[in-house]
Order: sequence, then C-alpha cells, then structure tokens
Amino acid sequence: MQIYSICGKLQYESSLTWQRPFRSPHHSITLTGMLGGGKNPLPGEISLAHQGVLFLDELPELKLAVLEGLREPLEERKITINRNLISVSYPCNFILVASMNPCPCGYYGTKKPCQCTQEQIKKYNRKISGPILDRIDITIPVECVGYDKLTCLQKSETSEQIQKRVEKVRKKQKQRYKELGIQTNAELPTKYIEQYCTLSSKSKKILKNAYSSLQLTTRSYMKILKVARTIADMDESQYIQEQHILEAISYRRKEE
Amino acid sequence: MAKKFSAELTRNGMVIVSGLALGIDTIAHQTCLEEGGKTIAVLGGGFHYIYPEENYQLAQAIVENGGLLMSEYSPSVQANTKNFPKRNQIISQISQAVLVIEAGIRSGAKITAGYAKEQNKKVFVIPNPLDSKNAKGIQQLLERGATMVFQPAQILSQIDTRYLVPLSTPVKIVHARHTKQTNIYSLLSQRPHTINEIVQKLQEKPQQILQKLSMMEIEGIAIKEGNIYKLKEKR
Ligand SMILES: [Zn+2]
Repeated sequence: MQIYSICGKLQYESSLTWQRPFRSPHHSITLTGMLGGGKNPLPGEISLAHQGVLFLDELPELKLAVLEGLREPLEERKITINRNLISVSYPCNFILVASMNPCPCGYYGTKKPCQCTQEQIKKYNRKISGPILDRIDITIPVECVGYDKLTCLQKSETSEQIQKRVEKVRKKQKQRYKELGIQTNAELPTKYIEQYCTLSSKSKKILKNAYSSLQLTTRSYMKILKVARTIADMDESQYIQEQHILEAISYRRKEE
Repeated sequence: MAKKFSAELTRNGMVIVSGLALGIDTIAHQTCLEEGGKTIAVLGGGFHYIYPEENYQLAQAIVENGGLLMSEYSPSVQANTKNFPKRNQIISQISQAVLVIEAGIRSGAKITAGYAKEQNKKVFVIPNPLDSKNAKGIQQLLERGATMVFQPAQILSQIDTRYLVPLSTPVKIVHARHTKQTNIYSLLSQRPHTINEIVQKLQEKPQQILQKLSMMEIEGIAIKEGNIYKLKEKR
C-alpha cells in the first residue's frame, strides 16, 4: 500500500478496500521502469507488484538487461536503488507469472505446423538463462483452448472455489511460519527446508532416486521440496507423500 | 494381389515405394520387408506424427532394415489428408514406374497414377473384376495409356535394372497394431507426445498422469524435452 502512496497511484476508494496489485508491463519496458530509479528514485514495476502478481507476457522478448535484472529482487524480495548519494530501498515481494511460446512461431508441440528449425527453438529457449529459470518454481505447458474444451471447463471448479482453497492454504502457511516472519512456502530459507518439508519414507526414497537419476541441482532439489510442500498443503496432508513429490518433479524445467 | 506383386518384385531387387497408409500401402511395405527388400514410405506429415499411428512399428522396421521414410514437412507437422495428393506426387516422382492395384475414381492410387503420367513414368494396372468399385478407375487409367499386367515379370521386363538392390535378411512379419492405447508407455512407444496430448488421450486426472510421467523419468524410461515426453532410447 505504501508503494502506491509514493507513486501517487493510490486512489481514494481503493485505500479502504485493498486489493493485491496485478502488474503486467509491456515487454518493451526499460530497466528503470522495471526495477525503479530516476532522478528521485521511484519504485519500478517489481515494487508496484509488491504483495501481488507481476505478469510478464512473452518473457523472452524482454530486454536481456531487464530479464537479468530480475534475478536479485527475485531472491532478496527487495531492491536497493543507488542514485548519486541517495540510496533507496523498496520492497518487492511479488509472485512472478510469465508466459512464453514453445518456439518463435508458437506452434512447436501443438497441432499446427511449426516453421522453426531446431536451432531457432534452442536459441529462443536459451534467452531465459539458467539463473532465471532456477528462480521459477513451476513451469506448465498449455495449449490454446478449443471451443469444446471451453464448454467442458464450465463443469470444473470455479475461480471462486479455487480462490477459497488457495486462501485457506495461505492462511495455514502463514500460521506455520509465524515465528520465521515469513508467509509462504516459497519464502522458506534453505536452512529451514528440511525442518518444515517433512517427507514420508516412501517419498524420501523417490526424491533420493530422482536426485541422482535426473541429475538435479541442489537448487532445484530445494525448489521441488517447496513446491511439494505446497501441493501437500493443498491436499491437507501433514507429510509430503509420494504423489506430491512426483507432481512437483513434473513441474520442473530441465536445465540445459 | 498386392502381396504377390510386392513379394515378386522385391525378390527381383526392386525397391517398393508407398505411402504407409492402411490397406494396400501397408501390405506392400510389409511384404517387401518380409522378403528382405528395401522399401520407402513417403509421409504426409512430419516424423513426430507417423500416420496412421498403427503403422508406427512398421515405419520403424522400414528404417531399421535399410529403407527410408521421406517427408517434406518439419518433424512436428501433423499428418493431414490435404497433404496426401502432394505426397503421392513425390511417390511417383521417385519411382521408375507406378503399379495401381486398386483404383477408385478419386482414390490416392489414381492421383499417383495421374502424376506418374505427367512425369512420363510407366503406369501399370492389374485386372480388377468388372463389377468391383475399382473397375471404372482402372478403365480410365487404361484409356490414358496405362499398361495392363498379369504377372510381376511383365513389369520386371520393362524397368531399368540399374536401380535394383541386393536383398538382405528377411524381417519377420510386422503386424500392424489395432489395439486402442490405454497407457502412457504404449502412447509414447508410438511417438513422442506433449502432456496435453497424453491427458486428452487417457481418461485420467492430469495430476495422476504427471505423477506417472515423473516416475517414468526417474526410472529412466522416459525423458522430458520442453513440453514433450518421449521414451528413452535403449542402449
Ligand atoms: Zn515454431
């Protein structure tokens, strides 16, 4: 809320009923626009998305510097802007949601013909560097939804129902981490991961096998644990069961 | 008839070219392999989408036995019936002669024969019963200069022997599969699939499918490449 006050973007009516921000800057955004700065250092998009969602469409289209600039704030959840003698720090605890195509033409792996060469596809995917991918917990391929699918979606859970489930789980996590001063599994510092992400004996074995056979990095190992913890929370399970760990493993993106 | 001609022509060193479709195409390729010959299948889509899926094993057998799969599409293009006339054009283009076993008025075989005529290739037909649905098509081909043959030897006497190939070991019968696929493994053994395709084909919860895929990955059975899962090649 304070972030919005600084920018003069807070409106009277919204000051009473606060909504989590949803920011979706265009991929042409500058580094200053994204991270903040200027003569009187103002917050950038990452800070305007504080406690909310930063949505980046067409992720590989971002300027390389902007993309790489996200690394530190994603890790620290705050950003320090140095300008001449002034040093300002803004919080930026946001959920990063990003989308990208499977290839430059967008049809690779879909029913429509892809015009790209393997080399073009590799080059496109390489734009998102390992360190950025490392900071993304879940990757899911989605295809364009046809009309028949849209109608079948109506039978599934509504957004309101999902919101209720998510809120319940977030509350549970906030309660669990009360003493750590954090709110979600994602924020859990590495040294506490083993303590809070308790595995059933079966899932412990699976993760151990996965670590060696999938050649996981320590970082992705930790990430899988945290995602599995959340899946277990959604499932109202105290321990991380094998189905939770397996699902979490499927959301990882193979590092190249 | 397809079997008899394909077998006899193969035994004499001819390379059999066809389109990997069900029916005559399948018989022609299969018989050729069974006789230890080389066969070429021209596809109407990319290599990731062997069509029809029942012939995935056959396609593999063709390549493993020194034959060839040809496609003018990039690997991820799905086979499309709209591409088939163009595929037939390639079939006749790379062939010395075209033999029409069955020819409905608007059949693929007739299309191929049409191209063959344009490309100055020899077109052979075999007699079909007068009351069969093919009789009319055969008649039209004859009117346009096709040659009627009763024995494979008649074809052999009219082709260029420079293009004959030596035989290799016969392959045991390659069965086309008609069973409906019910598990991930058999789906992936046909060709690589995206997660969405697997979810669409199997009536299981997406989570369960993801869990199974992860297990297959850990066990070294399948690998994930981007959004595509495929079976790990055996060493
Ligand atoms: Zn493409």
